[in-house]
Amino acid sequence: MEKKLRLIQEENWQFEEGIWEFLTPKKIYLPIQKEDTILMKQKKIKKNDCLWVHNGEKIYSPISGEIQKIVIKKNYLKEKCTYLLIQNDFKENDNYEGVSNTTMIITNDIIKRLQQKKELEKFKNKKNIILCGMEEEPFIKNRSVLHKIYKKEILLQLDVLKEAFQIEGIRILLKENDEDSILAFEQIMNTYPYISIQMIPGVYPNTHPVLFNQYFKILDDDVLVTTEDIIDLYYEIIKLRHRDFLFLTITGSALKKSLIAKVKIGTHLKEVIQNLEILGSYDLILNCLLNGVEIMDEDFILTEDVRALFFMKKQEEKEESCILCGKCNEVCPMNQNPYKSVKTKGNYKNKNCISCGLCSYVCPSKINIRKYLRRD
Amino acid sequence: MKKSYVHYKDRLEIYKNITFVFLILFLGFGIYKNGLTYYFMGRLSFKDATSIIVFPIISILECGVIERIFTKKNTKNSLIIGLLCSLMVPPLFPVLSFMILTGCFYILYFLLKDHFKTLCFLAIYKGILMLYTFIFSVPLENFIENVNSYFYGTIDSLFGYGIGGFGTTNIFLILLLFLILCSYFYYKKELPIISMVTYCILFFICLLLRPDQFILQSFFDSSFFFCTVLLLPITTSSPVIRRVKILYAVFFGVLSFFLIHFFHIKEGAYLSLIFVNFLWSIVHKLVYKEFK
Repeated sequence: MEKKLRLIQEENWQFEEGIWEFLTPKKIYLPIQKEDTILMKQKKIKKNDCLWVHNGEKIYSPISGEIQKIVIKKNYLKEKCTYLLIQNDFKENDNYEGVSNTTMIITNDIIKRLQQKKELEKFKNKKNIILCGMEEEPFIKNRSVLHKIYKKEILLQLDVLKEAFQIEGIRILLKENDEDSILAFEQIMNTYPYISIQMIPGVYPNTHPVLFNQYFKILDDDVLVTTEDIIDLYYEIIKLRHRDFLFLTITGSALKKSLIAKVKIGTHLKEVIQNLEILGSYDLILNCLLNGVEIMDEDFILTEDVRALFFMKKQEEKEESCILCGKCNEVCPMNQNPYKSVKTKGNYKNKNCISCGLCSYVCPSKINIRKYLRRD
Repeated sequence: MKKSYVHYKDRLEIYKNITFVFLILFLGFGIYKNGLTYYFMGRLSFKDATSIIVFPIISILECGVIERIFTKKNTKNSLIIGLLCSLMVPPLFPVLSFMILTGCFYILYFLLKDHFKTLCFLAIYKGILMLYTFIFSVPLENFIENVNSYFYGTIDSLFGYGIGGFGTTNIFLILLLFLILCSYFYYKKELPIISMVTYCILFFICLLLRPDQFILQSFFDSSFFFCTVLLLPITTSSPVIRRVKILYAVFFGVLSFFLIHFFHIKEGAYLSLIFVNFLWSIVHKLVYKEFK
């Protein structure tokens, strides 16, 4: 399978050094639902004020400012969502009650908090933690940056988990071409002898949930987590607050310089775009260049599931007729028959298609094969 | 469902250029072998020796003009097809007939290619040349070569001394081109590999059963290698599914072997390709018919 997947060619998009922080937007839109219990009575709020409770989880304000109104907007899946609009006053009045300085000592309190957390029951009676530090999509670099910045915190959190659930070993899966992550962890790995790094070929789509198990042979004794899971836990358990920002890979052929951005969750997309240097007209694609969603309407809120924005130069790409090269069939990681779907104009359905987009990627006739593959 | 915004960079132009350069080398060798050598040996007049250069000029010009008429532009494809057409022609083929046949072929190619997409038109073209020579008793093979070939050793056959089209006899160059094309992502290399392996296995079996100088000599049949490397893997006229590809290549190898070794048809590989391709085209059409 490995040979089949080692296909994606690197694009020559130059990334700016460091991280572009965009943490003071004019407005923040927080998703709110009818059943949520509102706790905030006044309009003026401080940063980290508890606003409401959603499924037993407290929602805090990421900025200080004034609550404006409830607005309805469509998300990238074109579903209507309700948001609470908060106008930033840029005063940064903070009501933070958590831990401001990161402690590197594991206390009994921390361990107790972990053991009591219902979502962490999956760690009970497990022998190994496997941390997936690889990106699913080949052009996203978020996790590399997270590893670079949060290496200490990630290892600390893994250590805490080990103590709390008597875990025997921890394995970090990194792509062999992800030099930043490898360097970041190797510098401080000596302190944690039970944590090891496993290098994985930088191929696509081996990190897809469907393929992951067969590729990496995750056993019953193993529990799989991602870098984001660990950082979220770190914020919740050690810092006692929710992560209110997200990391975004902003790249593409229409950008002068690509960058990794740290953005407040709930920021309006247009506000981010206004601060970017874009060359000419573009198509905006969300999360994945091979199988992502094209954003037609930029009136859209950045939520936690947004991982990347790709600004691609508008180009007239004409689909040509199939030349029967058969590469779509050859590269399919699920051994489906994309050619048959194209030939039958979608009448033949490939039920096991994972929509990885490799068939469309390799097609020399630029046929959008994915549209014929799945009609569900 | 949106399209993919990135595509595999296929380097098609580079490989087209490489193929073109090799076709020029084939042409050069063809002129040297079928023209100059015989001229210096005193077997051909200067006029006859130089007349073979006319074939590529005619076919390239014809293909270029016809392509411009049909598509309003000229591409490298017509140059390559024009060269291929001229290389496959027997050395002493009548020039006027060649001109008419090539012109008709290219016009028909443009008229029919959308309706019979899966047919290997170049193999059919060679088949038409063979049919013409059969009907009009034109020597299909170079008659001088036919006499000389009995004096050639194995190495001679490998380096181009053998019977075949005017520029298709240099097996060394053909295999070199094959090795280069194998690195091209979209080249269906499994087809030549499987058919060559099948051909070699059959050859060795035959050699074990009946050791014969003729079999050893006829193993280096340049038209088989030329056909296998350049015509068999043409993407539009060869199978897509892996299992079908294997069947197709094996069948081609077996049929070529039988036509060349048992029926003594020197350019049997082309006939074999026409038959296998035609059979596959029918199956392909039937399989996908129900979905229309």
